[in-house]
Amino acid sequence: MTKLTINGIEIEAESNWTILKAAEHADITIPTLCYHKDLSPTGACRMCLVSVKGAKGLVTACTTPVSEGMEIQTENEALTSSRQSVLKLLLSVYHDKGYKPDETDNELFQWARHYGLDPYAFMSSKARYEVDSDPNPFIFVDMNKCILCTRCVRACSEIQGRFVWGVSERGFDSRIVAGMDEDMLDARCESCGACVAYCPTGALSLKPTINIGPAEKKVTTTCNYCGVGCQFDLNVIDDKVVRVTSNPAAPANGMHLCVKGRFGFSFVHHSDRLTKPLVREYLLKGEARPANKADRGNWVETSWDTALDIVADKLVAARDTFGPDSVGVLSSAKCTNEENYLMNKFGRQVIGTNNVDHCARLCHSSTVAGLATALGSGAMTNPMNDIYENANSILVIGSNTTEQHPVFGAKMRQAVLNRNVQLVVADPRRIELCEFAVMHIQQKPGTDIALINGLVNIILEKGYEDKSFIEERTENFDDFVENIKKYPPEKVSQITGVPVSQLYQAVEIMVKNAPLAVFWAMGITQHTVGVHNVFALADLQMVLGNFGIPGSGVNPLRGQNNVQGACDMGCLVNVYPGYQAVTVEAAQQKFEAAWGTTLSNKVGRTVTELIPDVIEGKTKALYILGENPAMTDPDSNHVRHCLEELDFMVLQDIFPTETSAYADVLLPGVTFAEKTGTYTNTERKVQMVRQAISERGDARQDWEITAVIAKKVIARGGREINEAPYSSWDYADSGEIMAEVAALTPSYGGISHQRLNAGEVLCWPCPDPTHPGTPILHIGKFTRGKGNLIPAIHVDPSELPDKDYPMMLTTGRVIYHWHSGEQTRRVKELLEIYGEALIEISPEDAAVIGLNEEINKVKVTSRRGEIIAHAWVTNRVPEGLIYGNFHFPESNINYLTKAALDPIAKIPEYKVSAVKIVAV
Amino acid sequence: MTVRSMILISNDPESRIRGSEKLFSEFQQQLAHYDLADEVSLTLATDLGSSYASPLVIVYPEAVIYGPITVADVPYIVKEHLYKGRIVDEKRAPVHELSGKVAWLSAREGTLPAENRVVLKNVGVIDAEDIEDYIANEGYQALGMALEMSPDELIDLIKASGLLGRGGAGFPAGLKWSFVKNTDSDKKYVICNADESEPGTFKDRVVLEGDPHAILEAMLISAYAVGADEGYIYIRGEYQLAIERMETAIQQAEQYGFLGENIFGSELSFKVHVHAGAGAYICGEETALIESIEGKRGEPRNRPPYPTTFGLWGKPTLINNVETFANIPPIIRNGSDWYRSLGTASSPGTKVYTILGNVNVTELIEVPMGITLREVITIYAKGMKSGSFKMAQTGGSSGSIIPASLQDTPMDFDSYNKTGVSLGS
Amino acid sequence: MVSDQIKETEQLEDIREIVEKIGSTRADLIPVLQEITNKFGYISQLAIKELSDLMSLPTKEILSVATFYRMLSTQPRGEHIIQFCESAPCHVVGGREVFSALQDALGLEPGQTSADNKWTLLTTSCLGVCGIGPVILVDTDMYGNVTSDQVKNILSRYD
Repeated sequence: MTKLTINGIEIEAESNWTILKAAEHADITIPTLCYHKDLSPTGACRMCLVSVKGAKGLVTACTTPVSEGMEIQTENEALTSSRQSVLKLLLSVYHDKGYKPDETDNELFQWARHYGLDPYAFMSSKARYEVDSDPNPFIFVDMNKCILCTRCVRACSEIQGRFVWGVSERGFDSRIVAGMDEDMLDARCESCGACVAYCPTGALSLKPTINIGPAEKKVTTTCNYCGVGCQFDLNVIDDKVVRVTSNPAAPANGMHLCVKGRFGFSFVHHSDRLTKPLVREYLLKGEARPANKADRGNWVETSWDTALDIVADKLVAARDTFGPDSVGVLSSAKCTNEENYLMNKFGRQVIGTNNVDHCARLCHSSTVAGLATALGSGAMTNPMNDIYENANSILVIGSNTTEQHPVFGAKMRQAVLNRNVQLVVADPRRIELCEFAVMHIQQKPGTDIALINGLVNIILEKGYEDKSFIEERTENFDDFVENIKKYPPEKVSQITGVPVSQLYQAVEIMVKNAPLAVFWAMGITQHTVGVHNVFALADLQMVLGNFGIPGSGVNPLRGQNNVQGACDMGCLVNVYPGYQAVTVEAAQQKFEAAWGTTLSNKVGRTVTELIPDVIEGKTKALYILGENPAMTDPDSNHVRHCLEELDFMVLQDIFPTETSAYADVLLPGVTFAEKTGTYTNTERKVQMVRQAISERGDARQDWEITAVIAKKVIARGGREINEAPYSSWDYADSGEIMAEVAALTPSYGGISHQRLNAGEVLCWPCPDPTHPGTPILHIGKFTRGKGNLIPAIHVDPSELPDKDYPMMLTTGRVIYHWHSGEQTRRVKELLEIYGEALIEISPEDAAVIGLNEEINKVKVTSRRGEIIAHAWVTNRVPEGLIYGNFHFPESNINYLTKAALDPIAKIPEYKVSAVKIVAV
Repeated sequence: MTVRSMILISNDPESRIRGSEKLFSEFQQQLAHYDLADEVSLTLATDLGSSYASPLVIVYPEAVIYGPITVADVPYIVKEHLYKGRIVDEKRAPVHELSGKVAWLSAREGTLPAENRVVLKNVGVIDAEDIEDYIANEGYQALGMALEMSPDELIDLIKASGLLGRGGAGFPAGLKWSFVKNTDSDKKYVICNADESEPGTFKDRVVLEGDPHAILEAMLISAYAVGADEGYIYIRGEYQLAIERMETAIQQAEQYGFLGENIFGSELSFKVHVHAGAGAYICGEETALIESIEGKRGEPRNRPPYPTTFGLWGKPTLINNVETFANIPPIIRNGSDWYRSLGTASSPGTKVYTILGNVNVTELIEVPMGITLREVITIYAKGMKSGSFKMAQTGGSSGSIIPASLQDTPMDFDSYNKTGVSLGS
Repeated sequence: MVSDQIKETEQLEDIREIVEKIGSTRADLIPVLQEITNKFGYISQLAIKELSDLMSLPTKEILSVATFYRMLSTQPRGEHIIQFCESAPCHVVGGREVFSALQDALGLEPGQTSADNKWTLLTTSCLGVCGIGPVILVDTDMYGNVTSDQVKNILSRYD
């Protein structure tokens, strides 16, 4: 510790602190402009000059380290005068064209006023630069307001790791430019808006709502795109969301956001929003369904009561005629924990079926199943910030992190840049993250088990395994080793296409830079061997002893904003909330007692079974909340055919989707901006979602809709539901639902809206109201006791290229769009940047099929369908592989994918199909 | 036939402009004419120490300095001096008178020029492009002597010499070396700051062009003292000749085993790179210079940390300027007592100045610390060209303005600092 | 069009050769940029892009460095580059008059290139030959003790 005095106050500081940090610690404010706590200090603006007794001249507080006995003055006449001079100098090159700023006073103005200067009196009347000088649709550039603090430059380099902004020229001619003085997007800008968030002068601002003025109110909430769980402030004017601004207190992301989080909110106010309940005309007329199954007739607006009565009647009819298992309840990973809990309760208590599932089936069901079997808990083990701070190596396999979880992707870039963390990327595509990797392993799609087993084989050969960890904390080692022996490096090299030497190098990197953290996403899970893929990765980390310590673990990156929570809430066919198995009698009894009814102990059918089962007559009615299977499920043609045959579908959503064509009742729910509840992010952090604006039109809270349907179904009788502690569907607000969740879900036992609103950051397991949460899992002991080293066995993908379909297709998303695109395709700026599906194809293959500037579209055909789309010729994909996305209905890659399922998790093999491709 | 005489022609940029290369060819012709070509070696040397009478021609073994010389003078000098053996007095370079206080004899007194110089000892005396010339003039002796000492003994010697850094701040060189030595690191660097950018200053250029091996030798010695194994010489890009000469010197030093692995069979291994500046005045500042070597914009870093702990690539780095380094080999060879016999008690040694302005003679001089400005002007500059002395500026544009009232203040770090002015670089 | 492409291809080959010769680490950036400036007269956007790939550096870093150093240029320069020393020692011996004569003769402001691409006029800091100021450097030819009336004569040597 170092003792010093600031303004006469004695302060103890860590010896590596700067004067500024010591002052902040003592609640003494020193004015700053170029400084930001998230960015490396430069000492450029001279606002933070302070006087230090005995020092030659004034020193910059942001860069000068403390020393023993320092006597510092942060305010006196000389300093005021120095700061006034600095401010006048900065203002002398500042020109304001007069449009309304995003905040009443930017930081420069605030400090000017603080030191008694009217900024408008000192600013330049001359514009030096063009206003709105960059065509980026999100970022408004007005360099007339730039004071060269370089926060944007540092934010782009140090936070986003993208290096778009730079300083050109020198001295008075210095100016901020993008790339080599070009448009931001040409300079590889990802439009994350970090530069805007850190700009203290308004030189960079948010373009979509420029000139709209400061917010009337700001509501802190959680993003509704990916599982990172970024928090930010919704800015509201006149009951409308006008912009998103960073909230530095956000636990997962701090100030940082991605392009979708910061700019992808305008769908909330899109004219396509469903604002009235709609039912098919035949239902109102009491007629039979039209004979043409492809067209269920006209939509008619109706009252909530009428619509919900129809829903109740139809569900009761299906349940009572064909049995509870003829009904399926598909919940939504986009909705809150509270809403998901009610969907689970609705299916199990009200209908009496375990046919409760959601889109996790399509993304991480193999992770949940695999990790639950191997470790006892199917979630990310370590928080991202912990990994950023403590990991020495990272293996990213099957995760295009910078595009799919951009804020975590940025964290990985930061780990490499700031801590020289050794990043190994294993991916068939040369994804963006490869730029930051020490090694890119380009395995063939569908060969991950061989690859990982091969690495473990080398680890054992070299004696690198953590023997004591294996001894003390795992079981089944002997069987496991027998299997590993079948994966010698040469054989693995043949299967995967990865050179033997690279396998050895990868092992050296991971072993010599412990702890290793492993990340994965859909590239691992969406295979017929998805569960075994997950086994292999859990095995790798157990062999290396990388569990229960900082910077380690297995870290599946969950896709949707609340896919973790939807799973936690029991929207899975085999478990109640908190992964209490429906087949375990104690659990069944517990919920029977809580809900006042008898429950099924039969594992339900998954979404990938429920829909095909329509043809078999086993599925008669579906209650779908916020999902779009017609777009997202594999083999779309077949899915649509099945849905046509379905007796009854009630769909609760915010927009009419591709799936609504097959719905009979369409209920208008609300967006994240209109609701209060919680999401659980991929790190198991339970975070508040807060209502910022009122419901649009007649749309209602989703939890209320479910509750009313439940009450109406119960009122119609046919199923005995008795008075019990949690049998009721009367909730005053979503907080009461969370209280019920906490009562019935051990891992959520201590979670409440009150604690979260008080600012607590809680990761489950959080068993009681005083528990601080559990950021790192498996410390000292796995959830299941001993870690299970399960042999993972390589099996070829279900469909490999052959002479008829010689190319391999793999699928995924792009940074600018989200899943079936219902939200992002309704954000016009996102469409400006990425407005249509593109098929990625290697230059070699492009040449073979004859693509050129004129002929730039491709027709891709699989055994199940065909699509036509523009080609993007890029070396992101190797020869023989193409890549497509499922964001755009007209060229949805899921017309081509195959509904081959993992036998355990029932997840489809989206990642490998055989196709042929021609230029058109 | 043995060579009986040697002619050196100054070939610094100024001399070149004034026709040194034409002089060379004229000398060739004239020597051929008198059939002396085999007996007299002819070298386009370097800067021969002073621009006041360039181009200079020095004839050995007599060590007579002629200057300024034009092509028209050549036939007469060859005929008289080299053919007939008569020194051409009227073409000798002007000679200075010395104040009694200053115990230093100028090269132009007719004695051997090297005798009493420290920094400029070899400048103009040897062929800067020939390592053998350097070796013949005590070159690399100091390195051998240094390697027989321990690094601590070596640093103690530098401390004892009282050498102050000549970059401007006058920081004790030995102390700086000890900072770098005492910082633990797997890697350390030595950098020679040869980004001489102060307008009106060109003393470093003269040393780089005239005695590049002295800098290499000094860097080797310092590397051994601080535990570095790699060095950079940052020469401003405008100094093309200096860059070329230094690159040549490095090549030769590598050939002779003065650079490389296990030098003289010792544990010292050292490689050195020339980094040519790309035109940025600011890079004379040492942290800006480091940034520039790292391939970045040459913008100064915030200090602390100082380069001695966090320098090039974040490693402990010793940075000295050219003149500081040039003092090292003489100190090692002659000892700290000898060094302290020059200059003043608090600022030992000599200082190289360039004299420019409204004076009768503009030139480069090396004088002991502690000489007064009045002496510099009256003795070396031969007085003011017109009017009386009003002020002078030291150390280029960022030096101090020295008013007439300080004309008699001894020019050393201590005395100047006491009066609140700077000696500059 | 075709010849442009050939030129581009040739330039890229030269750039690759330069990087191969000098190196591709960050420390090699300035020497590489110097070499490119020497070879092509300036550092084009094409060159920056290529260097970005070859040296694994963001384009903004390359531009930022290229525009910082006076001896590097991102703008095409004339056939002959005139550098005029603007430091005090040259200034006090009549540099200002010589410089205005130079500007008049060329019709250029510092940093500009003549319309016919013949001349680029630059100012420089001290060239270290103060004994013979004012000094003009035309390409690598140095002229000392220059007077205003000599300017035209000096320029005419490059006709």
